[in-house]
Amino acid sequence: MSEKRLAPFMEMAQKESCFRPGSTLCVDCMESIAFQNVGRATDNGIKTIYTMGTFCGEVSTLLWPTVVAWGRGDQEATQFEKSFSIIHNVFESASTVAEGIRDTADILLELGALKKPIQVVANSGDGGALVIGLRSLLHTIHRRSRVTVVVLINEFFANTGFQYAVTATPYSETSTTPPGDFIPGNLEEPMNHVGLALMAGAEFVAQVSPAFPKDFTEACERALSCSETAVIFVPSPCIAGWKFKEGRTIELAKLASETGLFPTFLKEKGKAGSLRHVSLDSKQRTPILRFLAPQRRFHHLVHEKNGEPAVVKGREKEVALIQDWANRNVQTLQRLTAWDVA
Amino acid sequence: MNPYGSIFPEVLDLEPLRKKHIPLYRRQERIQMDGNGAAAIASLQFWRAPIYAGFPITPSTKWLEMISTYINAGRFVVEENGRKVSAKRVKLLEAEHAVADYLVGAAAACRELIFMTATSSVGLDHMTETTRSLGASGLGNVVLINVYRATANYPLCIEGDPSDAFAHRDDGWIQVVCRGKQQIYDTLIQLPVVGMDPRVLIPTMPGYYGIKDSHRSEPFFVEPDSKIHEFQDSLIPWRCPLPGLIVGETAMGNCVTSAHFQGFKWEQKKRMDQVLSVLTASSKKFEEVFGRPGIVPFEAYFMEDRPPRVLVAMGPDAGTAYEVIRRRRKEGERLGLVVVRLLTPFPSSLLREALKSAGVIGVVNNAFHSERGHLTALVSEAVSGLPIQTTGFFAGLGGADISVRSWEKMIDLLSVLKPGESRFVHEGEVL
Amino acid sequence: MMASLQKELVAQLKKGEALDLRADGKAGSGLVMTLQVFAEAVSLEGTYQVQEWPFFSSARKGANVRGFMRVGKGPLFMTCQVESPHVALLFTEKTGEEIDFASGVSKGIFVLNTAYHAIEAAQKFRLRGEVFTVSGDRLGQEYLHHPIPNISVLAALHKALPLVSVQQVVQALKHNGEKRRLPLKAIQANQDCLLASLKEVSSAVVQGEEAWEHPLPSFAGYEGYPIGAQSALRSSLQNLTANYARTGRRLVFQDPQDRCTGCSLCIVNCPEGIIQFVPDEKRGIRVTGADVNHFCKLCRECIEACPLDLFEEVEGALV
Repeated sequence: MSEKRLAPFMEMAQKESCFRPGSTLCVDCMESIAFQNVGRATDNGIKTIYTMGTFCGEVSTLLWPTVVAWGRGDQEATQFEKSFSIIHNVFESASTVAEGIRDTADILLELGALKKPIQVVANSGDGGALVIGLRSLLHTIHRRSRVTVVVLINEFFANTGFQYAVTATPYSETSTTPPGDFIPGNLEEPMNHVGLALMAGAEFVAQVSPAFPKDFTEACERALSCSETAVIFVPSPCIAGWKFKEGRTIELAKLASETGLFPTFLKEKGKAGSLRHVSLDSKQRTPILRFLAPQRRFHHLVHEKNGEPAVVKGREKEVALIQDWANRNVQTLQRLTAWDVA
Repeated sequence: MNPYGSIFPEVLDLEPLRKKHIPLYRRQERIQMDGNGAAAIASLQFWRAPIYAGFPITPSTKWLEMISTYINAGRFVVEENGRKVSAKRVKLLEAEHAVADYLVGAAAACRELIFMTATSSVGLDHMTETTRSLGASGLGNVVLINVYRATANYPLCIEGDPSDAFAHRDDGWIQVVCRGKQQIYDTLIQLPVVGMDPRVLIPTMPGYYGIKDSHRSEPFFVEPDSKIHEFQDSLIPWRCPLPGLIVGETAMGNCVTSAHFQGFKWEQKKRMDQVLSVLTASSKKFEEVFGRPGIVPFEAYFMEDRPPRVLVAMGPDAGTAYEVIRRRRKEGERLGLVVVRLLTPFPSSLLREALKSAGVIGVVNNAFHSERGHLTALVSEAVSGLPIQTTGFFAGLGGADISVRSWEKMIDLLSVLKPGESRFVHEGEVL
Repeated sequence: MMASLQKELVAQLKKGEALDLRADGKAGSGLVMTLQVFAEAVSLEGTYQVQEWPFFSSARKGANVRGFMRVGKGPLFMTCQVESPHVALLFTEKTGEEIDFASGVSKGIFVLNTAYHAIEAAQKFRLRGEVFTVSGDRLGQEYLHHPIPNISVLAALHKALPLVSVQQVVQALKHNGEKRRLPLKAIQANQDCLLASLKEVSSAVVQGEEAWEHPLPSFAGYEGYPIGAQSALRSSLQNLTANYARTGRRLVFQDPQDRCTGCSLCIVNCPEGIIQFVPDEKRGIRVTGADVNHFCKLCRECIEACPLDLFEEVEGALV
């Protein structure tokens, strides 16, 4: 082996993921990319148990009889440390189910019944964790349960056909806020999910996409080593609902951060956090048009002409308001990098 | 290859848990306590129950309070590697829904342990999404104590009425009704054994009436913990044949399409069909060990002379009915009484056999129903085709008292009402 | 000129017998839209009643999906799925290779999206009856800038089952586009595609061979269903999602000069986790390819990620 240590994500790339090919997730789905990489991060010598809410990432990967797309490596595990289990219960409570597993394993370990430790990861979509399941998420964090919660944010209820969710970018098209003469798309500003997780007391909160493998790897490793709840929000471009061409998922995930709509954010309790892959100077920041133009869910606002974004006539106001939201979002998150429970 | 996945048996050994159990009772004792207390005592005596989850709701709250009080007083603290740890924990969650979700995770994590909670009324309703999932899950190691209370808040009523239990009849759980503290205590001990039988693997819902049983104290016998363990361990396999999440490499809670869903419901129904025989066998064992009868599908009183008129009832009010019928039989009336215990799966065939000589059956319902009463419908179905007239009564809704006068009235009405009629009865008056 | 089977079906329809259609293809092929438009055109014409419905599942883009249609003169009482259709449609050839899209049909009308002529297609899929084919992916690419066959298949279906006029189909297509809030340009492109496709439909009456049978699938029973649908892991390894890729296209990795630096971006950006690599002393790892034939959905992320352009999408069949 080389003397020089590889970048952590390059080491990570060689680990064995607990997510297998053969899922029915869409071509070019970010949830799939996230599963591959969180799956690699959990290949750390500790038995892994996943809990799932109901979302695309569940119905397309846990489908009996031929689409159970989970398991570390292609062969049945021969070592306990490499073994893997997964459970789906209902839409909105992946983190509460995870807590049940965590506590059971803990008491078994403490009483000497279980010989080896386990780690628990709770996966849901933004609908499952931040809309119907917000209670479950915040209370698990509040109880300081030692689980890693992964929330895949695609800005709507993708599994049921792209209906509005609380994470939707202002003025985006969703199937329940169709833009037209009366409304120019979704009129609500997104909820501050990063702030909520911090204030509920999470030990570690990250908002990071696998499009930034170095940061994503760092976030996964830090989350899995926490002794209390860690939350990783994964902004996840959705090819079917955002309506863009194949091969642009990673590009859009990068743009989501660089424009300030979903800036990369890492913060550990009691330590200064960091905002990454976004310019703090709004003038230097990538304009949101670059993010909006490739997506047909913003077709009523911006078109892509010869690869360049062009604002639809009469929609300048909405575009300016999205830009304003992105700017304020960066400011809020910047403040949160220094925010801690006293 | 095991269709459920593989198991790493060497990683988990429950013997330390069994050894570290601190008993509540070392010999049989007669104690005076209310229903929630009887249920809590039994729950705490299981070595297999390390975690109790809960969210307070009247009238089940006292179960949770008592569990918490024992545990948080350090009653189960043991020393482990020089550190004091409690071998039992209580988990206080933020909603009943969360309690049910938590139980799924815990029960799936280790299928040899028993995970319990207690709830009532809208609390059970709030859990519904997950209780229906649990019913189909194969997690027979979950016990939900249902302390019956009226549902629907227009108007709100916090007293006992089995409308919560009846609303959850199709959740896929085994439901048993208790009356009196000894039944509550004994049922709690026996029922997990049925749910965790590999032929069954269905979660269990023992139930008793809020206030009338939960808050009324009576003397009953408590058994030494060791004897309870001996009974349970003789019937619960040391290893569940299906992998749990910790020892196993497995996937639970898969999706299917309509091409397969029905197949899983067919499979679920086949397991439900096993309950009666497994229950009966465990009752025999229970009687051998404890000298008291185990759970019966229903209790039959004064049925030996095949009385032409029979009342069917459930819950603590059946006690009053018993006394009224006993008195009237002394006066020469041939009356019988059947008290239902196994609510789900309903023991239709056995009941049909027991009731086949009756001419008129009056079924007493304590919960609101849009037609003639849940219990009336079940009993009518059981005796369908026989020349028997079934009559429905509504009495005791929302925990209303069913007085002697009311029972007298219902008995009188048996020979007056037309087939298929149903009536509300209260304080000896008919509506 | 209408062929005999076609005539027979239309005559039956006029007499009051219902006509059943079934369509198979990949999610994303536009199958549902084709059926919706045809149903609307027939329904609005007024002579017949139409039911149109999909087999509902959580299938994502690329997975096999199925749709049904029933046409009849009077009220349609029958609600069961179509087992033995009079007309069977195939939107995606790969689907036809995975399942028997003609199941339950001994002789019937078949409409296929394929580059093959009707006679060749009949041979390939062992079809007996009247076969209509159209090169939908090519026409879609040409008119809609996307290899989507829905409009061309609509044209072929219209040829196969001439229950309404071209104008009525055009009208329904326009209406459907408006309902989906497609831009005007797209609505116009759909119409152009339809009219052009009508000229490119090939058809043939095929006698075929007695042995070309398409039996109904038999019910295997429910015995052995696991408790609570609990299962072992990794069953998806039999779900070969390479079939999700566009027909006739595939990924290749070529590095004859051994330029791969081991940067790993392709590995971490691959949704399927199928990039193949070997340990390398200098670079840490060296990429050697990808499991294209089994699982590559052709999402193009590795192509975008590789700084040296070692991945490429090319024409070619899977092995």
